Amino acid sequence: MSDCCDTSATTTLAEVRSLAASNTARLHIALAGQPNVGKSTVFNLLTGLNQHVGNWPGKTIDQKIGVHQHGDVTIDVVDLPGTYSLTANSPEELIAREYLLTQRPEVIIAIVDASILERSLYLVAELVQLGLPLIVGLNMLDVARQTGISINAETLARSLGVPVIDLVAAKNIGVAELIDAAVVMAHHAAVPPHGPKLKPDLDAVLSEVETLVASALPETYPLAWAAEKLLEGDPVIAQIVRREMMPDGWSSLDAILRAHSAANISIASARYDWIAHAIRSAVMRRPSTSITWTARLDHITTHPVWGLGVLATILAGLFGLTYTVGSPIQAWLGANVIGGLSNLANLILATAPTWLRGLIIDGAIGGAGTVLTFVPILLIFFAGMALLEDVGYMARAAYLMDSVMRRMGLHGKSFLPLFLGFGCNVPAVMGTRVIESEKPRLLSILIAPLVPCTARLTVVAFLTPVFFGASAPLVAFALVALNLIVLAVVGAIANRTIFKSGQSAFIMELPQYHWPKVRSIALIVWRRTIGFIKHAGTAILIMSLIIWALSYFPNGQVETSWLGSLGRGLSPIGGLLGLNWKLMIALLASFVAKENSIAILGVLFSAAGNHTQLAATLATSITPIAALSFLVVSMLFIPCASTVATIRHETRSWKWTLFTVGLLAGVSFGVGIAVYQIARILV
Amino acid sequence: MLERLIAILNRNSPATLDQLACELDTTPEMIAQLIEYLERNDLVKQLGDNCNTQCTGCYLAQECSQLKAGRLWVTAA
Repeated sequence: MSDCCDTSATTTLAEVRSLAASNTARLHIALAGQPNVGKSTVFNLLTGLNQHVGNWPGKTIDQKIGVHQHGDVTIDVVDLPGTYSLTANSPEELIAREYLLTQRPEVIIAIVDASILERSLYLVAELVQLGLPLIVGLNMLDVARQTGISINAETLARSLGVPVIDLVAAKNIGVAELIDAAVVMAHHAAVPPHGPKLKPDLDAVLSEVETLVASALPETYPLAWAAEKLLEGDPVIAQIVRREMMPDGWSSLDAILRAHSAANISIASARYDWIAHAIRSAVMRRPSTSITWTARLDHITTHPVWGLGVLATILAGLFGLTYTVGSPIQAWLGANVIGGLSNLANLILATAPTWLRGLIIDGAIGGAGTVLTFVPILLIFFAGMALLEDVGYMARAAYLMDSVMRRMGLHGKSFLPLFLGFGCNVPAVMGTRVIESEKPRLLSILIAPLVPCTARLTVVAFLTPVFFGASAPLVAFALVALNLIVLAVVGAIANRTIFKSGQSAFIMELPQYHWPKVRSIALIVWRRTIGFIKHAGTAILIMSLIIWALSYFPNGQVETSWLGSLGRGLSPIGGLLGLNWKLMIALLASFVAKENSIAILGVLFSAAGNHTQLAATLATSITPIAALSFLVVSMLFIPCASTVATIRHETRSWKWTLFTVGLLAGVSFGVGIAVYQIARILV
Repeated sequence: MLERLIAILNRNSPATLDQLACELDTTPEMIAQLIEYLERNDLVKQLGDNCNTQCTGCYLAQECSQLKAGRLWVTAA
């Protein structure tokens, strides 16, 4: 490391320039680089206390200048603002490039971050075109090594056409060599750098532009660089040129620039090709164990065929686990806790009026109480989903589902909201805000309620074991698959008829797989479970009480109650679906909240919260075919009131909201009738 | 490379950074840079950003963060 001791006092930029002009043993070096690459660390090491911090003229951006003594050579060092490129995108970029173009330092030292070379080298790709001596300081090599990146500086130098010096500025390693190289370069003719090469057709256009603007540029501006910037659409260079050009000349230039308005992509492409070539030749990456595992697993989990198989297996496993472990606990809770609670209520309310006993035992305990017995099932289901999210699998599942949906003609941006629909349809509808175009957004809103939300899955989780025994996981899986198929078909038809719209590509950065964190999974499970319990204690409880009241009054008989009258009115369509009036009422009640249908079955079948009793009653009252029909319709039925309200809010249209509700009602009844009638023939 | 990436994206197929890197014979880090360039030029849009800025008060943002899906982009409509 060179001696950093000072021979001059703190000075201003103007003084530095003045001294540089009058002293041949004085050098002027500019430090360039992107933000956070360690440029200021190098500057501080070089200048120590001999630096001045002010503002760039007319700006509030820090201007740092200082002096470094290198033997008998005094070096004025200017720390340019951190910039990603030399395009006029920000005040920092304008200052940096204006300084380099007008002050023409003897050497530019570009500090790059070795751990993110792909990003850092973009500025270098622009600096090499300024025609100034350039050195690259390859900083943060220690960080790069820690992440398995090794860089051959000599190879990189040959590829870039400029000297490359290894640096770990934070430990003051390589800074002396860097400044030595800069001094040597300043006293020798610079080797012409191998800059990015444009495509031949664009090269010809560039020559045309150069001819037109040659006399209109400031003397210090490199012609080729300025011409390229004009083709990139740089407004500042265009303004300078227009001011200096005759109107005819500007018109000709403007016509060329307009005809090549996409040239910025080709120019940037050439820079990235140049960077990629350099990286390919000089950078070696040792994949970490987790990356290797992620890559291996992704070969399977994101494969269009095997990936879907893995997804199906995981979902089937999750359902299987939920039923195997959750259902017995739920049965125990129903028989002992909720059953015990209803027995206790019976004792306490022994002398109470009949309607009050019915309201508490059949309405509150039989309805909301039954729903609360789902908690063990939900705990397992939520934990399973949270585990899949936490290890990074759900991103793969979403990617796979997007591929499937896209093949059906659905909009790529639909994936995120639809994915959220597995939790709840309300955020799914709200999530369509990420889609700017009206038609694709409306389409996504239309199909979002077809994603089987947790509440619908809860109904499935409760009813399938009652009617299908050991085949319950298979039936549940088939119901979810049916929903997704209907979603895809409805979406594809609507996309090709009502909402003809363009597609868009979808790019996803998949996270690495990692071991699950118990704490984060526990938090997700806790939040979702508490949310469910609150829901059962409010909306579902109120609805259970209302339904009980409607089923009791005016004469205390369910068959002749107001609800019974309404149910019998629905019998024509219920007959086609194989559903008796109680099931139709349970279906309608699911409009308030999907779990409500179980609570209402509890009320109407007078289970008094006893799961075993309710399950037994249901199993003897309803045929498996009718149950299947009920489950199919429940899964596809109009969304809950909250979702409908959200659809109205998001679309700001009652017409559209009613269309969505009507379409989903039609689809659910249509598919339900088809399933029931086909099942009757087959069984 | 950037032009080839745009051509691939114009096929309107979903892709991961790794897949694009494999197809363009480069690193996922380089693809991320190319995507960021396209984003600066309004040719692609990052989904998470949109959600964070436009859905204030919506609990979607919380659910979004649980996706653990890394960054997501779509080509501009």
